[in-house]
Amino acid sequence: MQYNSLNLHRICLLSLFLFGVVINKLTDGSTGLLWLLIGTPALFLVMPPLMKLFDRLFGVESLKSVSSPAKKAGLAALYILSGLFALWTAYFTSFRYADFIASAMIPGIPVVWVQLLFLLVCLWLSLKDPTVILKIALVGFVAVVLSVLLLFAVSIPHFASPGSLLKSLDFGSLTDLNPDNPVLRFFLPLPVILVLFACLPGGINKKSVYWGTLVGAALFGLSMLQLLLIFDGEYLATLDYPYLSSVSVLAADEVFLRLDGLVYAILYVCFFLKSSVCLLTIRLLSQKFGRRLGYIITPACTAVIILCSLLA
Amino acid sequence: MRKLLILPLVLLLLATTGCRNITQAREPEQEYLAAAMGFDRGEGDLLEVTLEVIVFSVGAAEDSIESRLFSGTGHTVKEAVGNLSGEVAKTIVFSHCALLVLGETLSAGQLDEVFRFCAAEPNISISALVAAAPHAGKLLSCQSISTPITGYDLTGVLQQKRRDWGVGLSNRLYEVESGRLNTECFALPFFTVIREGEESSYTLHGIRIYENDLPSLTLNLSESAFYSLLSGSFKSGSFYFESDGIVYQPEVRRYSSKVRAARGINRVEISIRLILEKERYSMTDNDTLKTALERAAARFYNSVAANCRTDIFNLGKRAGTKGAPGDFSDVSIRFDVRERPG
Repeated sequence: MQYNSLNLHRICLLSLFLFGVVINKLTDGSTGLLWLLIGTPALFLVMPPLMKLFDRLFGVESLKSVSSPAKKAGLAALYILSGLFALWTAYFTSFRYADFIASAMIPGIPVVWVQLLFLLVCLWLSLKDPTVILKIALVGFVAVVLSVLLLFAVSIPHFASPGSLLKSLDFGSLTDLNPDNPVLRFFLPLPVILVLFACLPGGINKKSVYWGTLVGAALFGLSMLQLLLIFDGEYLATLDYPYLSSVSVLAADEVFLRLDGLVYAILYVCFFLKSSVCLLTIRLLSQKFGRRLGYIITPACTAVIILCSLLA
Repeated sequence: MRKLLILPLVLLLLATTGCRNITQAREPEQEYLAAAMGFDRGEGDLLEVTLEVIVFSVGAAEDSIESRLFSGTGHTVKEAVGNLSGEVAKTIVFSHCALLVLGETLSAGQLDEVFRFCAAEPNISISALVAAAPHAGKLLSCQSISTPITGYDLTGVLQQKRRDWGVGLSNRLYEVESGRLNTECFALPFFTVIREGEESSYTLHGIRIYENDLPSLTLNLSESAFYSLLSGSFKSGSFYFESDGIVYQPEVRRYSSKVRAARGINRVEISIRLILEKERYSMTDNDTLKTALERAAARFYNSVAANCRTDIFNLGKRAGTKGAPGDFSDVSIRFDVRERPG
């Protein structure tokens, strides 16, 4: 399949990759919502030069084709650093999700075992042709969007007054740059997927990046709004897995008795795609050093993630 | 190849989702499902926990399901659950616990310990209902009426009242916790127990308001309706009240409320809009009802505000002010009463 015809797939992959942040705690929900509203358009302003730069830096097929030694060394350093960043993102994503699965779904099982089990699937996906992940993203996207919309719709009767939420929005709090800011966590992994798109044949497709970011931000914004309207901001900050907790409130409804399966489906899709994208990025970056290197480095990185979890 | 991809994912989904899980799978008769938990102050100021559990029998029909009560004391809930009397030989599962009852003798520290336990115990749903009673253990030992389980009976009564009376009780665990965090106060449905010979029965008296984790005020059902109207938690339904010797019973189809605070001065206006059911409402005209409601609400607000130290109507947050609780001394209440068109 031609990569140029996969723009819709890229939109889906990017939006789900970003939406994966929904697993996290929402410590500062109302400020986060404001940041999302302001941060998304602001990001669009810095994106065009950034994408051009990424295309130039990561669009190089192989380091062997670079003649200048200084440029080669610079690019090698950049690829290693980007790979480490992808590894760090993969570690935190997989650990957070595995922790959720081990504590909320299959209590009693050590987190590391869950992580190992799921990462093996992600590793397998990352070693396949990138079109496989893109196709899964398209199918997963439909399921996730439908589930998110359904969850939002059924939670409407449980909403507190939207007026109170509007009144609680404090623009002054935007000046406090909290490292736990949910929107910072939302945008932080974006370079990983931009590197992936730049490494793919055809490079970054600007339109799909814009749309993917916009759809991801819309999904995350919608889920944040849902959580803020169900729970009070202060109580929301105490919940470990707010999105799952919101479903346990909806489960009390008479019509929809078991909606937790929808949240599990959303989280599973996001987990597999986010971790697979990180590992695939590592593989494609490694392949710039040597064609077969990617198939050695990626499993090694997966082993490092498991080792880090064992030591943590 | 496609099958190879789908198969492990389907297996993972089957293995890791659902009510049971692969590591703790047990048959129903191998465990006690806790239906309700009661908390009282026991002997020697210890925390007394009463647990109503569902007892299953192998192969028995559904109508043979019965409940059993266990009680234990300890310094913490966990210790009390560990000390349950009556030879608890099965694992206790809290995931079906629908009701938590707080006895009125609980100290603030004990109540805090109860909520801490509920927050830490992942199997207790945050949508479990919380209620109050003079003695939680005695309430749970009452004869059940509609279902074999008293705890589920009580939750049924609360849901019915919510539907019929429109009294938004806001007594799910997360709502109570939210109230504790925000305004240091919350309101719980208050049950009383009536003893008739050998058997005891219960009745929903109204609402009990807690401030700083201690009960401060008890409201009857009519007052509870006004509390819901003023605190923004009313749903829809009928309630009765008396004003100037006349009994009114409006049937509310839709309810909305707004709180506005004037800048610089301590004046708050609560605007309440009621859309009434046309067919059933024929006692008085809207203007008379509006006046009666405003009078009764003002009387109710003043009597409650005089006895409470915290912002029990959550006016601060609803008005978008960050004033200290108790600042709302000048409150005007306006009603807009209309009939449902058509």
